[in-house]
Amino acid sequence: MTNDRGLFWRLAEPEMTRANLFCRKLTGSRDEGDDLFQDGLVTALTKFADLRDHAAFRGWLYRILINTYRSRMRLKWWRRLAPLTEPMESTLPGDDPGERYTARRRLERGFRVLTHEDRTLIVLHELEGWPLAELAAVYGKSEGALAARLARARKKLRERLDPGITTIRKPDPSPVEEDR
Amino acid sequence: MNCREVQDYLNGLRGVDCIDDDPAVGAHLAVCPTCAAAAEKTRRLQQVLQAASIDDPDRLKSPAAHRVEVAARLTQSQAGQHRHRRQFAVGSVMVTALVLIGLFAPLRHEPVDGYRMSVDGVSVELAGDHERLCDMLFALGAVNAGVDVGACDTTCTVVIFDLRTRDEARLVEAAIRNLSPGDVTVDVIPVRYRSAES
Repeated sequence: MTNDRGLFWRLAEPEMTRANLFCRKLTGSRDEGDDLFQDGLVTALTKFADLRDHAAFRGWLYRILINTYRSRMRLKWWRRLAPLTEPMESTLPGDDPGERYTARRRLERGFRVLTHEDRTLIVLHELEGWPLAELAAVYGKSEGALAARLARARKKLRERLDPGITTIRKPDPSPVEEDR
Repeated sequence: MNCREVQDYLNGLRGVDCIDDDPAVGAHLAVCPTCAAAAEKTRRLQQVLQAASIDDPDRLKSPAAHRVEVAARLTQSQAGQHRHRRQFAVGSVMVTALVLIGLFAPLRHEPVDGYRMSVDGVSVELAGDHERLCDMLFALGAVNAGVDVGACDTTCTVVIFDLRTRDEARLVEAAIRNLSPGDVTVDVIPVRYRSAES
C-alpha cells in the first residue's frame, strides 16, 4: 500500500499543476477548483490499485477528475442557484481586469447553455489544448464523434456570447507560487 | 465554397485557429454577409477562449502541499466511512427493533377496553364511574324483579362501559350475582370499544 502510494505520487507529481489549473477552469472558481482537484486526488489514490497500465496514468487521472466534477454537479445542483465560492473572474489578480476577467465572465455565461460533458470537452480541448486523439482515449469515443460534438458546443457558445469584445492582450506568464 | 461548407468550417475552428488561413473561406466571406456575420461571432468566441485559456496560478499549491492535504482528507474520509458504517449499524438495529415491537407488541397485550356482561338476557347499558354503576345495578336488580324474562324473547345483553380493569368487572359481576341470587347466569366477555363515548 505504501509502495502504491509512493508510485502514485511519483506519477501524479508532473501532472498536478496542470490538473489543478484544469479544475479551476472547469469550475470557474479558484477555491472550488482546488477542492475538486483534491477530491479527485483522494478518489484516484483509493482506486490506484485498479490501474493496470501506469503509462495511461494521465488519462486515467483526468477521467477521475471529470467524473468527480460530474458527480458534484449532479449532487450539488443547488450551488448553481446559490454559489458558495467566489467566482474566479472576480478574484483574479492582475492588471487587465477589463479583458481576462471579462472573457471568463462571458465564457461562464456561455457555459450555461452547455451540458457538463460539453463544458469539460471545451475546457480540455480549447483552454487546455488537448488534441482530439488524447481526448478520444479519455472519453473512449472516436475522434470524429468528439469533433462533431465540439463543433456543436462551439456553435452554441458562439450564439450565446454577447458581442462587444474587441482586443485581448495576453499577460506575462507569472510563476507558480509555492504553498507556504 | 458554399455557405454550408463555410458554416461547418467555422464551427470546426479551434480558439487558436485563424479564420483567414483558408483563402477560399475568405473569398466567400467577402461576398456573403450572413457568413461574414457568423465569422465575426466566431472571432469573438476565439478571443474569449484565448483569454480564458490563460492560467490562474495565484495561490496554486505545490505538489507537496497537495500531498499533505490529500493524506489528511483520506484519513478523514476513512474515519467518516467508519463513522457512517457504525451509524448505519446502530440505525439498522433500532429500526429492526421498532419494527419488531410494532409487529409483536399488540399481540402481547389483551386488546381490552372494557367488558361486556350478559345477565340472563336482560339488556341494560351501564356507564359512568363505579359508584354510579352500583346505583344502576341496584336499579337493574329492581327491574329484574319486575320483568318477565320469558316475555323478553329478543337477544338481551348488558353492556358495561368504562370498566377498564378485570377487577372492576368482577366487582360488577359480584354485585349482579348479589342482586340476582339463584341460578342467574353472568358472562363476562372482554371487548374493545372504539371509545368510551361511542
